[in-house]
Amino acid sequence: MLFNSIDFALFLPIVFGLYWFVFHKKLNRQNLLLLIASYTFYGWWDWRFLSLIIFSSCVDYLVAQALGRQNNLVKRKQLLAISLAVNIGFLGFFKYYNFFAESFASAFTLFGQDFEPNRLTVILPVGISFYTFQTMSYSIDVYRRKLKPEKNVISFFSFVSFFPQLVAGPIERASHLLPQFNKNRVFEYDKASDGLRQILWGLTKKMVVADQCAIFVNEIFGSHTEHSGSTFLLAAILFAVQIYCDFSGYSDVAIGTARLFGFNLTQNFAFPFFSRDIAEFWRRWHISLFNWCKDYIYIPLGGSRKGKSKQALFALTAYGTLGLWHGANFTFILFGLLHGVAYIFLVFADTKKKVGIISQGKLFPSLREVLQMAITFTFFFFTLIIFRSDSIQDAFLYYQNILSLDLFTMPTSMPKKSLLFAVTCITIEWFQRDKQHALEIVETKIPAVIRYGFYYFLIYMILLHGINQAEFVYFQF
Amino acid sequence: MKRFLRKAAIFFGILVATQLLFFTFNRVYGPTLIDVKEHMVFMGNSMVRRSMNPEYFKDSKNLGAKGELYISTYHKLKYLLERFSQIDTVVVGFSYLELADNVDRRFLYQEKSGRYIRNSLAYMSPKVFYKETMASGKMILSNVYQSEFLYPKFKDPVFINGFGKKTGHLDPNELESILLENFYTEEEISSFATTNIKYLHKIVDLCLEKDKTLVLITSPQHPDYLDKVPKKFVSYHTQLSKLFKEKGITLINMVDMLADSQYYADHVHLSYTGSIEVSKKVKSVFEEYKGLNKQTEYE
Repeated sequence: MLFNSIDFALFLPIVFGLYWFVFHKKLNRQNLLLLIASYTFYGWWDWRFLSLIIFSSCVDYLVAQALGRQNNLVKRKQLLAISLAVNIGFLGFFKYYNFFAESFASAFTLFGQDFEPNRLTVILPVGISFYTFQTMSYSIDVYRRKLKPEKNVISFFSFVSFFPQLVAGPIERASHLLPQFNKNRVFEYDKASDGLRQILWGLTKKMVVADQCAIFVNEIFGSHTEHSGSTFLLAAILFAVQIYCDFSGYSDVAIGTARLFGFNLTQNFAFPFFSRDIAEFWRRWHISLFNWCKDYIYIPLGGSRKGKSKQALFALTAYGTLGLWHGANFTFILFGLLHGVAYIFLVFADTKKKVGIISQGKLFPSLREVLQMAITFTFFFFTLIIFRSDSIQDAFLYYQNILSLDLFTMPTSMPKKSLLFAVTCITIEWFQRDKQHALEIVETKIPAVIRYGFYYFLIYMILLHGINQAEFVYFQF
Repeated sequence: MKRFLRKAAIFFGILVATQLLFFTFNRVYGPTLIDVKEHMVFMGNSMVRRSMNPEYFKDSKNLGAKGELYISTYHKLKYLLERFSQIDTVVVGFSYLELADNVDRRFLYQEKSGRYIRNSLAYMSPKVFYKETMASGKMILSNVYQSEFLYPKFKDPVFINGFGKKTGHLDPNELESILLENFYTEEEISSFATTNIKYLHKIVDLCLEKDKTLVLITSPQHPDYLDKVPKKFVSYHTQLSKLFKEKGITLINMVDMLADSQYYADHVHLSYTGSIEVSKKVKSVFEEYKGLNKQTEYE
């Protein structure tokens, strides 16, 4: 089920009503309702793949229980290996098998051996990378004794499949989300109404900005010859806006929905376009994935504790994994590695860590900050071309198209509507950059009439310009 | 909770009430969507729009619209025939790409085609519209909203003299993407369309029922394109043509009439020069067979 569908518009109030008015007396019943709702939500897309989630949940539940009872280190390691093998096995089978098989075949061909790999024709289950990483983190944390194994089956299964964040994150840590399933939840007016505002902003970003930009972006990325360099450049910039609004829009709806049910999910995007360098960017973009890679790959490898050269290697490994997480293609790996290289550059240049919010308390940024943001954004959208392309050759062809003689002419095609929406969205976010989301209200002096008028305006924008039922880009990951 | 529910009810209540007001107002006072005074109408997708130059046909109007599917043509035609009784001849495009199920998937689904479809939703009554969208299982919110609530803003979709000036230099890569987009699904040849063909039959039946002359025209296509169109669609086109001929429908098949690239804006759309050639040809057929004898196929 898509957040931007009529189905979800009916599903949400029904589950909300049952949750707070019918199942509210016992926590376990509420959790059971959430579990059923989550399976319905996922099964709406393809019920057959529910078996994967259920199987993965069973394995992780049982492994964690065994880990809780076991003190023998070797056996603990074996148990963890079972959990990781199952989770990575699923990922490998559904997502990476063909990629690795073809890569091996290409390697054999290089050595003069013709080798035809067996390819699998399987559908990639929606959200597999998200929930697999989430359950893996649970097993690892229990293994590290950072977390006690969850005894309540319903709580655990609800945690794995919690519908707001099941298919596209945020990738939650068990230590953050799981305890919330075991705590009595009380309806809070402020939390729920802020949740609704966050849902509205998320849907606006997705349906109005991202999907409008997608029309132009898909057209330009789909044709390699007919446009001027400036048009290709514009499409690349708009793709950055599209993917941001698409994914952060999803996260906003997910977080807002969870808040309606009394849950707090981790912030997944913190206005990344206002980052001053690439390190700060990754602390603001897809935060839950970046933190996962940092905590489960980069730091266990050694992080910054073993000297700069090793730190560079660890960073490349973490960023490479981050890239590969997106999909089975060299383009994603290269995308991750380039960001790793940019990070290493900052490490070797001993750049001061950018903390806090840019130009806090000021209306506009300084010239230096504008330059820093522009450089970071340019690096991002330029590398995003690789991310968006089917192959590295395609990406280079696209770069070639941008760097043509007519780069400094007006674009041959000008998506005025997309540009207007994109600029407006980013401007609104700039003024709200110290908040969790752009519609968050903290001690506002804006009269209610204006605020509600703005909400209606956003709804009308969705109705007038929104493209319904267009899938979220990150579903494919 | 009570406060939340009360506020939510008021907020969404105002939203629903204003929309109902719009809806009622537009249904009652909304203007006529198209005003047709002519006896002959051309309908179909961009191939019709780009090939049938109305200047060559006395008393005709070209209502072809980019990306139009037969479901839209059918509802538009039904709307027209109910209101403009002087229409006696309906010319509808009938090409290979309308037979692949790629067109079905576009119905109220793909964002690009969704925008084109929007124009025709307004021709359906709310009941029919609901039935159609529910049957398809897909709905594009903005299309629904714009067509059902705000349609007075629509302009008459008539398109005159909008033929492509681009000519001659056809891009082989573009040909590949046209073929993939229209005849292939994940690199496999697509199945036959079901919804689109169902509505083609409904168009035929509607014209027969209302005793109107229906002419199905197949516009010229570039030879490179014709070489690569999967053969099963060509055979199906022939098979359907035979069936329609038996029903008394006139068919004008000009698919291989023009070979030179100068006549094309791309491999499937005609340039201005191409449209002149085709319009002349159709005109001559109309003149030669005055009254367009039924059960005739012109090739």
